[in-house]
Amino acid sequence: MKRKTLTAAMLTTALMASLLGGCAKSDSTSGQTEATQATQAAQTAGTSAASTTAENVTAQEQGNTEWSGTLKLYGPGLFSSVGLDGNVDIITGVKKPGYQVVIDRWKELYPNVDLVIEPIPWDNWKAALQTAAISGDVDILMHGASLGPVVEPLQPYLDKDPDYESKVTMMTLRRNAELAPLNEVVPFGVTVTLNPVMVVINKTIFEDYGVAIPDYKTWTLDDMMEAAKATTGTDPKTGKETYGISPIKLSNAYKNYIWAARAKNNEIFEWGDSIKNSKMNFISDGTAEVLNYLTAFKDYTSPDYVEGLDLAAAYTEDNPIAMIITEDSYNVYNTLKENGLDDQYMLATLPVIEDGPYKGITSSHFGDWHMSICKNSTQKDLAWEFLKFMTTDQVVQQWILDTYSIPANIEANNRLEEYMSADFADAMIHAINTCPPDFSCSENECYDSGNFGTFMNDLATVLGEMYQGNMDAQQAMEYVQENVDNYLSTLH
Amino acid sequence: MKARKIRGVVLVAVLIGLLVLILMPLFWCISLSFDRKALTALPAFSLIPHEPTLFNYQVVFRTIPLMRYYGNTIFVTCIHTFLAVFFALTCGYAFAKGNFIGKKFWFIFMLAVMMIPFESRMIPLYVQYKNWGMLDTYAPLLLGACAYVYGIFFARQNIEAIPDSLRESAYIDGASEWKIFFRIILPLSKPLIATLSILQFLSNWNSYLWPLVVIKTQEKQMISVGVSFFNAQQNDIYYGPRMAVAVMSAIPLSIVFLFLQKYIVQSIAVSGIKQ
Amino acid sequence: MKNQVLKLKIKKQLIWYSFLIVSILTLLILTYIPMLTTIRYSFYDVEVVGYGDSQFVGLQNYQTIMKNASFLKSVKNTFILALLSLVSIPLGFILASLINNVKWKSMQSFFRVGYYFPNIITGVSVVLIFQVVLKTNGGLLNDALSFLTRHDISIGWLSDSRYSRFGATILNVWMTLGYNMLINLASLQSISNEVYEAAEVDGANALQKWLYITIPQMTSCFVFLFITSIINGLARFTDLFIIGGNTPIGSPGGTLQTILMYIYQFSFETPRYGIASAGAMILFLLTFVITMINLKLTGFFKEK
Repeated sequence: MKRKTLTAAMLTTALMASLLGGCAKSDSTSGQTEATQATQAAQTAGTSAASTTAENVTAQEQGNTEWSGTLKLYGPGLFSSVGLDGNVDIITGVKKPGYQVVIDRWKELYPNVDLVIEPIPWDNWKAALQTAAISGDVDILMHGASLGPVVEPLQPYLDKDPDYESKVTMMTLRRNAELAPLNEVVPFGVTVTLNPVMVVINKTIFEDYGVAIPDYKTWTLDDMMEAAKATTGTDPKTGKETYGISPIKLSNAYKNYIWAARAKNNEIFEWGDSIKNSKMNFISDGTAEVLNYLTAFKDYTSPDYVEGLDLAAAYTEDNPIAMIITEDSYNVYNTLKENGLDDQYMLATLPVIEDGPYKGITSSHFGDWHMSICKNSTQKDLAWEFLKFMTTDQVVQQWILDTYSIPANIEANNRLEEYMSADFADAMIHAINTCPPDFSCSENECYDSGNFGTFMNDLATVLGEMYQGNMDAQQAMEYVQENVDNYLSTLH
Repeated sequence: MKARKIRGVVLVAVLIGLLVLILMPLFWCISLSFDRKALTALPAFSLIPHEPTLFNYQVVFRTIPLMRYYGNTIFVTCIHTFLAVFFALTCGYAFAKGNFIGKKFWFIFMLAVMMIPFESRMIPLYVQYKNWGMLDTYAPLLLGACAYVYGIFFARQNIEAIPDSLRESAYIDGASEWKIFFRIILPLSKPLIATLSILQFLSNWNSYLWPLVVIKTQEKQMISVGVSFFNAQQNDIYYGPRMAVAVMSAIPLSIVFLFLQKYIVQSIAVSGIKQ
Repeated sequence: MKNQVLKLKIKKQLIWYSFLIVSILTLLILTYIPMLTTIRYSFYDVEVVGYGDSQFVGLQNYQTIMKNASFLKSVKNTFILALLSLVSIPLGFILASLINNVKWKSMQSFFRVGYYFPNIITGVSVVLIFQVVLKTNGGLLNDALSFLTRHDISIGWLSDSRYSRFGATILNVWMTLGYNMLINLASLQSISNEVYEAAEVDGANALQKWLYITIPQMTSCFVFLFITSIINGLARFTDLFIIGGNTPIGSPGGTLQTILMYIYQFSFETPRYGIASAGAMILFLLTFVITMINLKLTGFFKEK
């Protein structure tokens, strides 16, 4: 793959550049700047970085008047959670600037294009997004790539902008039988922010039990299980009950399957020329191993884990859990910092992949927030301009950092160290830097949430059932297999 | 006599005990909404806040334009309720007292769709409103009110119980059906109106999916969606503020109910449900 | 002369229709026409309305769905849950009987309001609270049961698929008890005192009066509540959707997925609008048949 090597090359150069640049402006922005200050700071940062993105910046500085119209955005995500004018987290007191910053910056660059942003909450977002797409009155669907038939494939736009991919960490990729063989994924959205799935390690508990803190760059699934086992019981120092691990909550157990299946490289697909002619071989020893592995955590989790209530005391003085798998590491860091506990914790990546093409890298994948172009939009080129703007403009990247999110932008990624201590930033940067650019956590060789009907939900169901002891691996595999086969038989 | 009195007191005591038990979760909600300790973790069960505060309410008011959402929702709910109850009464009257061709047909025509779940016709309905250019207006939230089938059913039962003699004497005076409806039926249907209004108010106040989909401008949104926006702005479940916003959004409903509750029993008592 | 009579007759008809016309038109435009669209889509293979090509497939969606294990399971779940929720009617009746025996009128209306209150406050916040009340380890209910039985009880009322239907029913009864009580109470209070007095003269005791007078007099009330509970049960959605973490999969273990949640899943989560439409039509037929049987049984169509 051409893209892969190119990105890899860019990655290393960008990394080098940023290491040098990073120490120079170590105190540029402290955590809690106001929206306006942030913009100013960002603009200076933008100009200082001008040497690397020279053509880009100068072309944009004057304001681009050749575009005009009104661009409509709809969907859930970061815009909804910060609001137009920003918000304040009530626990951590962290202030996040609102998306007015984005609108203002856009107006500066494209004075003749109006932005209409309609953010929605996450509750029932798929239903809302689908109806919005049906109305035909929307250009950009935020988080829309999950609605396959509705969004525009982006490859033609990437062909027109060949250097775009070198600037971003990842894109939102999906299978599409008409565009590429099914074992490959093609871009359907640009990733704006990313959230690595990480392990929050409570160093104090490890020390209390005298267990060595694992080296996350090399640890295996078995190491993780061992660590969970070793830190479950009565804390020898404090005498309190502790639990080894809290995986991603049981109602979303399919998310645990994603990384565990990837770590075991449990490939389950047999591709044909269409989804209908493809097969999922879910019943196998490999799958049983993955399912049993995840269920084995049962002995090392808090009894409240089942209800998703075990994290009540997490990130406080009384946290009884040694390892917490989180999809929201940045906010975890903020909470810990607010509680003055950040030096007792660290982040780790998930265990390494044991086999297959990605052998040896971490199985941590990324949650993302992305933007896609609606197929029925009448101004797709303008929409693509906005997508590029969201992912490459320096002011926007700064805004994303200021909202305590991680931009999917290579330059901005490398500035994470300015925002948090090394115990946290290193593992995240490790995850970002080792992430293969052609990997999609939603649709890969071990897992697929979009093309096999209710596969994702069925996984959550059976993992929950196994955890409760109501199913064994064999029953679970048969349950899932039956549903998938049934679904495939309904396709045309 | 004395034994009877004691039995009465015991009965009341038992009922109060049971009531307290049933309302316990609600008391807890309210207590949590005033508790500074109720954040990502629920504090131990207690009816008195561990650390009393108005903080949670301040957070709610600071984060979302609650008063605006109140205004929108009250506006829409009142009009919706008025339309629904009015047309339910007119239809109920026609079905109860009218004598016209196709009465049975139209009644089944209405009953047949009484229970069609909204979710299953939402998309075609949405497309219709879009074609009429009514998205992002309150029309999609209000027009459906003009056919309140359960209300028609209920109104028919109630109006049927009104003696015909009243109407007949009005006929002799030369009154038209509409005049009879306004002069005789409406004034006699106060309990019915109250009951239907409460039921409408309840179901409208909490409707979420439809307003989320048809209203695009945030300032025009309903309170149910506003609450959801509020929850979206927090990274975790912060119990205190969540409870505060829930309590705030339930207050108007509770007030309406307290004012109208005594009519409910009356209207149920005269409807066809009793013997 | 004859013409005059006819004209008058037509005028009378038109006047009655003027009472109905708004509702008829509204139903026609906002319910029947969208429903026709749904019927049409149920014969097509379509993912998202207006995107991609849709193909006429005849009855295939219906065949698919009738063979689909998940759909059949959701039908089963729906009926089990609807039947379980019926327990709220006898409980409401007992409660109403107790309240009816309270001599002080002001106390009565206080109880009426109090017990009805849970009906008003619903939604996410209540479910959040109940998740804690009903949790496995140290939940209030399990604690209370452990205390009463003197055994250690830890049941995952909302998290273990073996008990989740009971847990969901507890939540449902909590929400509907007040309504059932209210209807029962109104019905109880409309039984005339003369019957009781006559029975008293015959020397009937309280239990006999309750068994031989009250309960028979309440039949039509019970039937009404039975019908509405079953029909509401068929369209049950919101509370189970929230219990499942805002997903329509009916967790835990898919035991709480109702027909409507299945339809929602295939309308929005995994868009196959053709299949969802077929499901909607089946749900409509089920509801329609049950409503009609009920109305027939209760003699609703008999002209009075």
